[in-house]
Amino acid sequence: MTPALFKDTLRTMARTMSRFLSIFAIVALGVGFFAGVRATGSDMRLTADLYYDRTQLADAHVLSTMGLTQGDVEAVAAIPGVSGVMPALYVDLLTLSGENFTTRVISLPDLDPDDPNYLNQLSLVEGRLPTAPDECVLDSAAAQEFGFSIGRVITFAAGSSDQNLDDWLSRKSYTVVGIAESPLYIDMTRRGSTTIGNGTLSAFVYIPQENFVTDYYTDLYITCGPALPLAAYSEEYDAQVGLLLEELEALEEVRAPARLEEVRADAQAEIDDAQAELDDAQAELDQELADAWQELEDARQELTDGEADYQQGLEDFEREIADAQAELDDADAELDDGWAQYRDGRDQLREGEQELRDSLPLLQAAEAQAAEQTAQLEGLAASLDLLDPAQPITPEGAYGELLAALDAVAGQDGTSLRLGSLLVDEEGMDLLPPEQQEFIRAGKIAGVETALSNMIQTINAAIQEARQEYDQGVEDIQEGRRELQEARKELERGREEYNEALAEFEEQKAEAQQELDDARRELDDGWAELADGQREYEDQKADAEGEIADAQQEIRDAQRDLEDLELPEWYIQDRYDFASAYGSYRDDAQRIDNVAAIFPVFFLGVAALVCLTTMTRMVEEQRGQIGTAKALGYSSWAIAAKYLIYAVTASLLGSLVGLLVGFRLFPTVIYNAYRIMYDMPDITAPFWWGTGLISCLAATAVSALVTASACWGELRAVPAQIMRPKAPKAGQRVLLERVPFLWRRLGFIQKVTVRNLFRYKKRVLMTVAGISGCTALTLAGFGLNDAINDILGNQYTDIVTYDMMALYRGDGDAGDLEALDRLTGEGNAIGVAARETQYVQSMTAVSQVSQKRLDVNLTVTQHPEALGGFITLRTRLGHEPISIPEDGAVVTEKLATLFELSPGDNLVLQDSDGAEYRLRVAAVTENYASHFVYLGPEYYREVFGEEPEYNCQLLNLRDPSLEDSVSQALLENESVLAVTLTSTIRSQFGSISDNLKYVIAVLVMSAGLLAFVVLYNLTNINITERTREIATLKVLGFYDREVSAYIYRENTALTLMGTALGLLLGIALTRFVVATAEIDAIMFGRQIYPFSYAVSAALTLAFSAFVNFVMHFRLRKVDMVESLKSVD
Amino acid sequence: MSFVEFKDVYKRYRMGDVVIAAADGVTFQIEEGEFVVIVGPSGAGKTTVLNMLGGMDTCDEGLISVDGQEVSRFSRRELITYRRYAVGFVFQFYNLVQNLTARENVELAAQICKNPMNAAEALRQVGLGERLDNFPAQLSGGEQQRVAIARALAKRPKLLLCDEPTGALDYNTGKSILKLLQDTCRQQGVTVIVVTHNSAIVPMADRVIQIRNSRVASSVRNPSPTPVEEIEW
Repeated sequence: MTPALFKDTLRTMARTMSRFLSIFAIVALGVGFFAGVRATGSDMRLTADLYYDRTQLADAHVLSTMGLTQGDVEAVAAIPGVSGVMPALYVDLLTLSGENFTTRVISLPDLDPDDPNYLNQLSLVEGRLPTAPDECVLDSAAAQEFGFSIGRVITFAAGSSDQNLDDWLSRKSYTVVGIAESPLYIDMTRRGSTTIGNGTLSAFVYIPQENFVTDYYTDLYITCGPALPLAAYSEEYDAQVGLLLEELEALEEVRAPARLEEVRADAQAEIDDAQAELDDAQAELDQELADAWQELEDARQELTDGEADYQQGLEDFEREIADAQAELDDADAELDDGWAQYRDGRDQLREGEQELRDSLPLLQAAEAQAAEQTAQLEGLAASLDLLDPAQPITPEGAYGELLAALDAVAGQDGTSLRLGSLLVDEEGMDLLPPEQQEFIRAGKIAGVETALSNMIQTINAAIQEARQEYDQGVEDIQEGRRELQEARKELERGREEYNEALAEFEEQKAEAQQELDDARRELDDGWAELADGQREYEDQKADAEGEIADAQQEIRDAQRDLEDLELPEWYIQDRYDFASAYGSYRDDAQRIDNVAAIFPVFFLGVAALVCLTTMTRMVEEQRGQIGTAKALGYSSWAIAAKYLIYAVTASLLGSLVGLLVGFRLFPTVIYNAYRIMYDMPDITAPFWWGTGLISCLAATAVSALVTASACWGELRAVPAQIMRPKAPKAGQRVLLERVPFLWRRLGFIQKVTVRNLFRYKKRVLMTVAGISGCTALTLAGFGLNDAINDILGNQYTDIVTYDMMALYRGDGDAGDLEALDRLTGEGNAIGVAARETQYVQSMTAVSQVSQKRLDVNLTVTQHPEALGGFITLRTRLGHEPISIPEDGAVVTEKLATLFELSPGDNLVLQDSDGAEYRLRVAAVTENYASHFVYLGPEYYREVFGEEPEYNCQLLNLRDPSLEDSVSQALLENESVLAVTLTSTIRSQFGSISDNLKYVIAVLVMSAGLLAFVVLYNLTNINITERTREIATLKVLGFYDREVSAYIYRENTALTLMGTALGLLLGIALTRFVVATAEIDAIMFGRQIYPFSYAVSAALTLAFSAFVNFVMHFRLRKVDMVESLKSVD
Repeated sequence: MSFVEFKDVYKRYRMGDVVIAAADGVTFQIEEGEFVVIVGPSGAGKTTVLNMLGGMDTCDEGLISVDGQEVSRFSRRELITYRRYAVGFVFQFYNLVQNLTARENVELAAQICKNPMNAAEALRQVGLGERLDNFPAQLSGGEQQRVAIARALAKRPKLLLCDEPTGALDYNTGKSILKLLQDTCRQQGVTVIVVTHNSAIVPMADRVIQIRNSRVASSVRNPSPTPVEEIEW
């Protein structure tokens, strides 16, 4: 190349700067994107490798079913190639804080950081490493999640009922002095699984090793010397570690039996001790039982005695009662007799009285008679006085009457005395001197007088006597009455006395009865007590004997177990197994590589196309010059060199700038988006010479090649032909014209447009390719955004509809569980509107079609019919509701997709012990985050053969603002492990998708740049190629706008075509990007929203409009005058 | 006032430090319906004059008026409108749109006019009634130039400006084109202005304007123009 030609080349560059820049820009864009995205995967791996090296991440890990000893450590260290061994201890515990969470507590060795045996070193984010035994370092992700900061004291508790904290640690509380990241836990979202709590680890904590009290190590971490210089994730590294694992497996053969012997000896000693202890216990028990039996016997004797006493008492009582009763009865009878007598007396008295009363008139009559008689008699007597004793008394004369009356009297009372007669007896008297006569007569009269007086006397005496008798009768009656009165009184007193006696008797009887009854009851109680005692004795005896027997059995079992004790098994793991997310990080890097395989190639392709058209146009424009140079004798190569240098310079510069920017920009943006999921240090993004050189060479080679091919066409011809203007490309009819029906309908300008489109096929193809690429990329960006937003929108709005989830210990304290049930149950006071109880358990799903294993959440819901208010189960397409059947499980879509499951298939789940369960898949439900297997309790029982131990409550609140108060109330319950608010997850996911928006912005901006460069370039070429035509139009009097419209109509048509095609391509591209970017645990949305189509199309059209706007000024500048010159 | 009038028209180009006057006080008049030939050697400034007259270029100084309109004072847009309705152009290299048929090329101009001639009719007038649907590449040079003329005429312009219309054509074809132009002038009364360096065709003009060194050397009315057929060169 001559200096002149070289100068010409430089000047061409300067003059056609816009053309030069367009090649530069498209190459920069293409190479930058290509190399940047391509380097991202490598950068991620490099960053990880440097991190692993810096922290001395172990290459292998050994866990043993019987723990590991110092002997094991030494044996491992002796393996050739092992450069470091770190024995370690860990235990999974519960951390007591506001929200109790499961933590892996790991031993921190007291080693120098440079010590090759100090592995898995922590990277402090804040604070320092512990210097005192009661200090600890906390997981940074957990510190953030649970709001822990330096200075906080963490207290651990046993995670399950069969775990004893004291078996593990010498102290429970530790002060956080540092917050760190561990290379063992680069997964932000998971810390691994455990057997306590809900099965998921939430944090790790490092405490000084001296706090562990176990006499063995739980695990060994090992580094492999030959693997140290090798890059993590490289095949060489994996192979080298593979060799180490084989060595370790060989060592297991030796070490396992040794450990077994050790454990056996220890265990035998322990068993012997236990046996001795048990024997002692047996003896003690026997003694205790005997004592108890004696006590029972004594009690029985006492009761029997009491029983006899009681019997005696009872008999005495009965006898005494009978006696008393008889006495009383006698008294009663006596009283009754008394009364009868009394009544007789009273009757007699009444009779006497009656008689007396009856005799009274008689008496009175007699008295009256007596008084009459007396009076008669006295009259007689008086009459007697009248008698002259000197005269004879004869019955004749006055004496007669008297004498009759005397006789009447005498006869009256039966007295035979004949008084008259007496008197009248005069016989002989006359004989007697008168004096004697008179005397005898006086004597006789006196005699009669005396008789009369006697008579009166007698009558009066009789009356007197009768009266006296009567009075005596009255007196007697009165006396009798008094006596009766007296007797009655006495009787009444007797009755009273009797009654008193009877009352006393009754009282005493009752008292005695009471006493007896009491005694009886006491006895009965005593018997019952005795029976209880007996039973208790029997029970306790049985219990104790059972316990002893159990213990004996246990010892026997232990003995048998000991005898059956198998060789301990070593779990020998590489990083993929022991470091969480180690593999998924590689997969993510791989995914970027996949994306890098498609996207950037697209860019490079477009760059090549742009370069080709630009250079072709340039060569065509400079046809005359080429011909001249050729005519002057320059070789084809020398001439072509100009264009090659032009293109290669633009490409090289573009590549360089592209590489410098691309190698930093793309890896950083993409990596930072991934750092949402990984705890990793800042990216190390070196300049990858290999990739850089290759992409630079590829871009340059492609541009050189397309330039050469553009030159080739011209240079082939002889100079004369070249110097002549190139015959304009002939117009031709297009296919559409053969369809007059349509063709005629087109306006004139439309016809022109259609014909032009068909005339410049290459340009059309490129424009459509460029624009569709732009649209597709933009749509992919927005589609990805939709896909991620769908997780948020669908998962945490439509699918998860509960407000909060409370995880609790299903095996917790019964009182706590009951309190929890009341706390959230019907009529609760804290504001829970509804709840559903579930049993949630982490399990591993094992694919039947591939080697895939996935963590799934087995969810047994107590009321499958009520789940709809908390979690929506539905098909993704059509949103048909799904209900949980009694004979199958509902699995989430991503799981079904990864495992190729459809209804009717079987899903195999493994629990942490490796036991496998087979579930029938009944339906597949829409879900975006994590994998779930939903069952009803019946099916769970059927498959797992046990009752679900509910450990989770889904809660809906009456008011979202109650969130905090409700979770606080829940966490106060001892059994509650954690409370998760759906709103928190929603905002967490929101921030993830915010981060991913950077990636999308980069995509869209790249796409926009691409569209701009392509359109600008093509329009530019279009204008330069058609300058004459444009000038002619201007001369013909087309206004500026009309000229632009004439040219743009094609651009617009092409843009529309490109956009339409781009939307189709975009759908495919989005699917690809979503599928490659998706991680196993998450299903992105599968729907691109109309808005995204609209925005992608609108953005493309806007870019195109912007290009047209810029080009309008170029069109204005096209000079009619210049273009009317001859064809050059 | 004449139909076309140039009065002290200047047009200067700046080439680096040198100022070149392409028109140096050009003054002439043309009457309506005249067939004018502007003649002069290469680089004398003929095309500059034509361009300014056709509204494709502006003058720096002086007055240009056409049909009473002061073209020299037109804005960019007024110039376009002027070109659109008042002027028809015929170029040396025809400047047909390759992708359009003969008819379509004519239509291209016709469609933006107020009262255009029917495209087929215009083509028939220039003798291409049979080649309506041919693409330029399928036509000979003379035929292409006829299409160009038809395109210019279809607009029914006041002025028909032709820049070396025969420059790229052979003798006979050139003659037939000139004949067409002269006939058009005579029959349709269009003022035709032909720019050429070929002084042989001067006799056919109604008026001859000679330009030399960017100035009008002479402007002469020819009372008896010679028919084209009689001219030889």
